[in-house]
Amino acid sequence: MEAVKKPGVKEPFNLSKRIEWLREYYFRGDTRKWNNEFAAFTTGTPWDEVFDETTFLIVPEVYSFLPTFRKSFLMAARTIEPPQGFFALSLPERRAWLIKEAIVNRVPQELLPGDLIAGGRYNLMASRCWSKAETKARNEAMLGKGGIRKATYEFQDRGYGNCGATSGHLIPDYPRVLKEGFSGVKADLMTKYDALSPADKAGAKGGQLRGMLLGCDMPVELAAKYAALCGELAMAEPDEERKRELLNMRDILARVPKEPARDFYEALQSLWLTHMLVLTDENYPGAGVSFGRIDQYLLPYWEESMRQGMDREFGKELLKCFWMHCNFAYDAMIQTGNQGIPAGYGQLFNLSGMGKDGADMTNDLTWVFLEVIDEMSPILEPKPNVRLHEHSPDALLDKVVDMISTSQGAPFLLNFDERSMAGMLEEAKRAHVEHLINEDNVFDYASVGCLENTMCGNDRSATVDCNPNLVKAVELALGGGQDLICYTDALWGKSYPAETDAPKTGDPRTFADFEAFYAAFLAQLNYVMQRMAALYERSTKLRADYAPTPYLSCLVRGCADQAKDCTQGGAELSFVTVEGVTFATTVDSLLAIRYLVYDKAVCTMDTLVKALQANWQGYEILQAQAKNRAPKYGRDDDDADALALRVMKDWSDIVWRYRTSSTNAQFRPGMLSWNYWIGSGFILPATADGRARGQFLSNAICPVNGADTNGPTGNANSVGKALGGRDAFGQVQNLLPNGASHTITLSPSLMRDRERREKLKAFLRGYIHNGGTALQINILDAETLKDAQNHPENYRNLLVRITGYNAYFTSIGRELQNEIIARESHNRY
Amino acid sequence: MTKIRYLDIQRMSSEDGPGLRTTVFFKGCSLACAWCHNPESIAKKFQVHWLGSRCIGCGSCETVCPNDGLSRDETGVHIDRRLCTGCCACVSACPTLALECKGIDAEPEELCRELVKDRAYFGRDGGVTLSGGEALLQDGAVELLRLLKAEGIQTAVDTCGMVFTEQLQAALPYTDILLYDLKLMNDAEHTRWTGRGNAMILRNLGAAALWAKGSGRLWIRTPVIPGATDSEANIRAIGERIRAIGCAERWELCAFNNLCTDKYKRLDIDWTFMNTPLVSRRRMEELLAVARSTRACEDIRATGALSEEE
Repeated sequence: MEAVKKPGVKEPFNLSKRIEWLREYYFRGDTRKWNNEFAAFTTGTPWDEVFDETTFLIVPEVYSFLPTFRKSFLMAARTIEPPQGFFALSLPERRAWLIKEAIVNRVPQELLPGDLIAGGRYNLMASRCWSKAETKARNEAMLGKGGIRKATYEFQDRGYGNCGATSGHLIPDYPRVLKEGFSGVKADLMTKYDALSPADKAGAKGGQLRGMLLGCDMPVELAAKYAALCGELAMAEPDEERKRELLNMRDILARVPKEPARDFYEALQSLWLTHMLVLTDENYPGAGVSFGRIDQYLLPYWEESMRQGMDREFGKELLKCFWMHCNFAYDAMIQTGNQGIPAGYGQLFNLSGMGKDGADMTNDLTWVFLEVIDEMSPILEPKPNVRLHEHSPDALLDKVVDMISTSQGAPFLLNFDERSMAGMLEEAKRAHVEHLINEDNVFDYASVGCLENTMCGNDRSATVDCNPNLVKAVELALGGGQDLICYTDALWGKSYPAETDAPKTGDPRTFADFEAFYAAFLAQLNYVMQRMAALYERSTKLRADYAPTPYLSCLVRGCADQAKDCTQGGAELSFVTVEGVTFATTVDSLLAIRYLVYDKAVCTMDTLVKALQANWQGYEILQAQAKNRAPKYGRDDDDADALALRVMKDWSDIVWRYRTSSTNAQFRPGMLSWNYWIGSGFILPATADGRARGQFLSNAICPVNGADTNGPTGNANSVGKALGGRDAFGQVQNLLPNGASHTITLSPSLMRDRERREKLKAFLRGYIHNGGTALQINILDAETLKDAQNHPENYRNLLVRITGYNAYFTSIGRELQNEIIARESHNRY
Repeated sequence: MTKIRYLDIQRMSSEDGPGLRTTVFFKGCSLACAWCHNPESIAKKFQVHWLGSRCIGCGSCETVCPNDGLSRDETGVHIDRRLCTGCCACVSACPTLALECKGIDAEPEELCRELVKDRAYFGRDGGVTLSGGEALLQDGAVELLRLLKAEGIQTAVDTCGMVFTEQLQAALPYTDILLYDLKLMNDAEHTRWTGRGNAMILRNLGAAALWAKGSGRLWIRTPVIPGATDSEANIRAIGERIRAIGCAERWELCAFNNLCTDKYKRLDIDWTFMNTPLVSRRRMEELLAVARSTRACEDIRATGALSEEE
């Protein structure tokens, strides 16, 4: 029996006083006494630069702040006098030295009351350590006339999208540190350094390895400082129990991360310090620096501790402290608002999933993690991603469904192994790296950031570095190589000159059939990719030349062997992921052109082009036909979905043709639109699918909002087909190795009782078979959301996720809020 | 081959039998229940209706009706039901789907292809449900069921029971679950509220029971309609009959639903239950207690939305 029940916002539960306090303290936000705001440091030279905007080139909403950030971080910076002969050192050594000096000796070590894990402040904005000549050359390339900054702005302003060499977005080799400690990592580096020829030692390779050796000392020295702090605090501690805790922490920190971890507590402490220093090293608060298969590699330590008699709840208490540390990443720019800029950090971890020969890897620790997520939720970091596959146990699905139903769907993303692994194997074949990705290890893939699939510990796939708007190619095909509208500079409103570089694909009015139009579209799609690859080359080369991350490089397999930084292509697997944005809008536009102009002759090409240029003003009937009569992707309509697959194949083929020359990284395809589909909707002109300028574009692999009139299963089937479906032998195909973000909203009515939750499980089992690589489920009814809009004070903790773009509902803009509400309704237009 | 005339296909349905289901609603019914949730399913003929919220007032429909059955004024589009033949010229002319034709004709093969698309989601429990209207009135239903079974799909038929026994018998070999409506045990009341007596329905229930004693699964469904079917005497009488046949797996008391108010307006039908409120939780508890007291079967439950007000 059912009542029309309003779901409330999920509350945390089963928290100890300690965790309750830490959690509550965190949510006090910018009123806190203690925070983890960026600490800025300069070498004090008159030419010094502190803020490197390269990392932010993929965040268009902060473009207008970049000049301010550049100046204000420098002004706020404290000086660290560099030692004699500093600028004669290699750049990796300079950077490694300065970061280490800052985090070990200049940033205070602190411990919040009751905290069981050490490692507090870690957000750093430190001197780039460039010499005067380097600064001049670098700034010329970035800020000069025709520099990267301007070219990037123009790329975005003209609706192409964005790209840039961005930090984070990888899974460091944490298990190695747990097993060998930094002493092991360092010994290996020493061996490799000693093996270099004298010429190499004197050159770039020697400089890189010496920088990495310095990097290895950083966690060891910092742990010693924290050990001393714990000792001091223990001396002054009146409470006996807390005193024992502090002394225990002191002993643990005296050992790890320098030495191998022996139990769960040591492993978790080692993991935290190792991880947080990646964020320190990159001067970037954790965007997509992910943990990988954490319930797999921490399991031996967990089991050891359980054997030694650790209380299970104490193990969870440690994890909950770990949770809080991950969240303090958001303090980086805390003065700019609730979550600072940007909002989606994504220190992701995977749970469960497939092992060798299709075995299911759910273990005791998986359940521990799920409990911790449930008890801590709602909270943003770290972000869980549960891997499902055909043999996932029923009990796991039960737990997943229960958690989805009590937490508005927000607690985690779901990743689907069969489809994801098919993509990784496709990548191995396409990029000729079968020796690194194959049937024997592909199940050990994991996700980065939100859902971007990579291998662990040796893979920098630059998963959000390139974000082109695919629908730009339709616009250029309709314009015969010209923009359809006049684009303006977002900052000053100045008009850009009419485009000249795009191929002249001919006047579409003269095209005999849809195939002619499609050929023009493909030529333009290649142009969009070519233009983006050229722009990206400049920013990745700039990073390779000027922004080494020697500490991080110690944690990425391949860097030591090649004596190359991971910003220079040092990782064994080096890819650049192209996240195609506006996929469904592109497919639907092509479907509409085929339907309106060629199949049904509803209008001429001339009329259609004029209608788009007029933003449908005066063409409302045609717009309604485009919206409602033309076929759409996302309805499980085989004919429409066939065109979606064709676009997917042709586009991914184009992507695989490109490589960077400076870092020798292969481009690979994926679909994740972060929040770009919103912003670019205001830039790009009207589209043939009936969308007016200012309306949102489609998100990642999702159908256009509202187009999925056959419900969630039809939607999911279309997504699976667009990714490649299954071959004649029933083998799962996946053209997108990175994976594709898919968000659906389900009505709370599916969660009402046990019987209906069984139905949701059936949906997930079906999705494993038919759907995409990753799924985010939101369980929200429009009424709750509207109430949250009007009474934000009552919904401080209401989490929503779109693509793993993960935010507190009340902290996002009104437009996106409305978008989420519209999404819930599943109405036709 | 006989075409099937249906209204709509609903995928991921959680209400028409066990598991996740795809439900096809047939058009045309042998009863005309006064409370019907799907009034557009009663008549077999094509019916046009107008959804004001989708209309952009473009006037594309105005001149296309061959019978002058459509007019437009400031309050919207009006369809003269005496003149409308269901030719749907106006529907074709409408760019926004504000004018909709209720009724689609399809070959059973064509329909089957559409219905099996969610096979992966059906799992052990789910499948396809034929609902309506009254699916068994159409010859194509048996062919569709046969095709679905050949595809290995679990099938359910939601029937009002008001069909020739031969029609029911033809469908049963291809049916896994029968969702069988028992609305009113009093024959005169049944005639008053549904337009027909219940003799044939009760006779067919016997045939269904025989089948259920073999391999079939029988679910009985009773709509709980305020003032019509919601007397304790009626519920008790239905319960006793279910107990007598002795092979029902489940009995659902389906709470009255008023979400269809707009459908009646769009079809220009005055609806008896226009202002009838939802069944209250307390009333449903009482009826459930009555139902359970009859020991009709193991699993007796209520479905649908209830009001919390007394």
